Amino acid sequence: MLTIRGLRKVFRGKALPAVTDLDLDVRPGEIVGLVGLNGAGKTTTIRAAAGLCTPTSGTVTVFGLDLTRQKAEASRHIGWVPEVPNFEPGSRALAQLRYYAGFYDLSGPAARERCSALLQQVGLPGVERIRLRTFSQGMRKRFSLAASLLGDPEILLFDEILSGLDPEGVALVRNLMLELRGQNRGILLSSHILSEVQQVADRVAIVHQGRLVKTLTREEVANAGGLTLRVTVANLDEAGVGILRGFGEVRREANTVWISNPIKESSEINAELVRRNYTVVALGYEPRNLEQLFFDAIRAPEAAGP
Amino acid sequence: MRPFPLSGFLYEFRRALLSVPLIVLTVLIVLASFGVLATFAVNRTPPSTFLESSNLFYFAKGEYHFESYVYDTYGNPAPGVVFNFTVFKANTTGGPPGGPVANATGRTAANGLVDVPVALAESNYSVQYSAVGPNNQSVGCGGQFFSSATSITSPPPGEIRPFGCGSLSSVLSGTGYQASTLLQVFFLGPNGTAPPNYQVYWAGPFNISPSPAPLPESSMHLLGGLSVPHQTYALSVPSMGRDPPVGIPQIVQVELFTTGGQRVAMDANQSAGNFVRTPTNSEGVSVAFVFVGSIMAFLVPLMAVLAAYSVYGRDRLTGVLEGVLARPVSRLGLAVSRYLAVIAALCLAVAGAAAVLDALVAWVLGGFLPFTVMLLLFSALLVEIGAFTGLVFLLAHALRSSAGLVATAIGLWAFFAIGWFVLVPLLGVLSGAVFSPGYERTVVQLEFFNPVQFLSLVQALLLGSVSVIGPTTPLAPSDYGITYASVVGDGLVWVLAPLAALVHVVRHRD
Repeated sequence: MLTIRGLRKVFRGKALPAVTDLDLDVRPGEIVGLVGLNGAGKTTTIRAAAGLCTPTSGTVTVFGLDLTRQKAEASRHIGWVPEVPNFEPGSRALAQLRYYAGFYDLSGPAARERCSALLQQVGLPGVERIRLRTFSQGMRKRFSLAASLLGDPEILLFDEILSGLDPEGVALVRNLMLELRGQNRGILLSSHILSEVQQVADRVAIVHQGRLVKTLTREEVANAGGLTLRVTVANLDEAGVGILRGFGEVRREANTVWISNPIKESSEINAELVRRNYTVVALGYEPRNLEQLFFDAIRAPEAAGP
Repeated sequence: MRPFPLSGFLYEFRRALLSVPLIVLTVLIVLASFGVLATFAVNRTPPSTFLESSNLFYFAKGEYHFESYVYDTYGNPAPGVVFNFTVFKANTTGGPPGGPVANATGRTAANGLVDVPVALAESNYSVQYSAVGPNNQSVGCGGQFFSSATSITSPPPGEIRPFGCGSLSSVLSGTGYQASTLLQVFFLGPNGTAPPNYQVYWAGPFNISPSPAPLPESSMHLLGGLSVPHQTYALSVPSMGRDPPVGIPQIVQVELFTTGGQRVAMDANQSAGNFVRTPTNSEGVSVAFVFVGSIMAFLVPLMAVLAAYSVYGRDRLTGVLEGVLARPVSRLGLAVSRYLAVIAALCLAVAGAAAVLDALVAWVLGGFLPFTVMLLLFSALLVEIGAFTGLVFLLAHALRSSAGLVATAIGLWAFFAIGWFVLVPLLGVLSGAVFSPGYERTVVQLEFFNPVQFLSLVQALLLGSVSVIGPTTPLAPSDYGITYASVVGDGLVWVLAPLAALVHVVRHRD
């Protein structure tokens, strides 16, 4: 299990921490989505979990092994796919993979066989002799995915793995993630494509301004597919919002309120507002998705104020 | 879990060794080493004025024939050399010879040969002879001038015998390079005819004492056939190590046999040292410092800079290294394995280049460079390699772009390898201190602060003197603080300081 406790990372020359007081677990057999705006701290979190950046404070452990103090041993349990994979440009695909394989004590024909099988698995058959500099972004992602699976790790860290992939690649990675979850592997998936995260994630951690602001449970993610009622009221005030809270979880923007999974029909809600002398300008259902949950989560702290 | 990623080390070692800059610079050093050929090629003009001769005689048909071949040190025939022979009746009691019984004169032809017949009854005689070249050059024999009387004991009619200090064989300088030597054999067939394809054998080296006994063909080495009066052979006596042989003088033994295996003549007068191809210490040190010192010391740091950049700096600054660091390897293990891979690859490249140089020297000068000199030079280059590799690794953690790193690293090399030699004298001139004893001392002692000049410190120790430009007499290295302890200490600092800083940075920074 990957356990992050009190992670704080302040880069040299930066006043603000990239990540602060972040707690997160990734258990075997689950996919945890990691979502946030640009600069929210997703990549820093994943890099710390991969042992690539040392926490300023806090700990990252993998099955009890501290990634700072027991880096080599801990890394054996982790596979990492970066957002922008970089390889020796002049190296050939198989040679590069076999080089990586050496760190897992794989050598000779066994290494060759394993590397070729992984290339096949990620949809890159027949590229063994091709130089990596000729790979497209999508191919680099797939190659990096193959490299991350070399050591048969229990925990996989995917940083924007879907970006740069064509639809076929997205489907391949999605199916692979589900297959890996079925093999009791834990995956931490950072992505901007929230719909994809919603499709595969068991839990979703939402980070904002370096903090973990909310972790959506399996149920919350599962229910994210419900409906939201959008109500626009001309003379909306706090009392009106209070009335609407009685029908479900609400989010307000100016004169519009979104009610998640309302417990009453729209006509009943409209009638109640009219009865209280509110002027309803618009009323209608919208599909509710992870994106709304995400914005709900990151706006809540902002609305709460400093 | 292995603390040291061996497979990674081997991969990076191979990668460093096959990196284009390393190959190009190694080839450049090897090509530059061929300058040895030009440096040690023998200048044949003007030819040596010193002449030598090989001398034979035989009795046939009532005449004694004195046959000589006169040649210069390269074996070129010397025409126009006048021989004067005076033959005395031999004193069989061992006293001084009796009065002269015959005089004869001859002059060498264009082929350097002369046959001086003297009509005398067959008996024992003493012969006094002299030889003078066309320009009054002296004519030696085996390196000795002669005009003394030589006893000759009459051989069976028609049989060929050496006389005087001449012998069957002689040593010639090779025409290619300074240290190459050839064995020349001068002999005739019965009654002064052309040699009937005698077989020339040699053996050795043997101690000069006791006198060597004739050997059978089977225990000797064949040099070749002899069908003309004089012929040269390449004779190479096995080296007795890198250092010149010392102790009891040793000789080589040369024998002529008929094709039927009958011994015709034997000669055990040539020093084996003539054919042991070993450069002198001064030649070795000269080659080592001219080629290793001036070329390798200049280029090896650049090799280190580029190899360290290729294997570590560029990978670190382009994110390639992170893909490796995500593997089961510690930061320190990764950095140290790559550092050692670069050092090992550079050592192999430098050793390869040095081996080519050594082989060239062995070919040109006849022997390998002194082992101790090569070892010390290699150690000095290792300091340069360690220092510059460590500095580039360290810079990779301080800089943020690969272009900045390569520019800074090459700039560092240019400063130490070129700028230093401009800056230091310039400062001396500007300060008005140039050529003062204090300035010389400062210039010499500044060598401790420049890894490219570390070789100069080693050179000073090896040669036992410090070369300085100025009015003062060069002093011993110790007068400038150049001792084995200070040089070793300086080398350790240059290698270990960047490495220690690297270890610190790797352990405490991302």
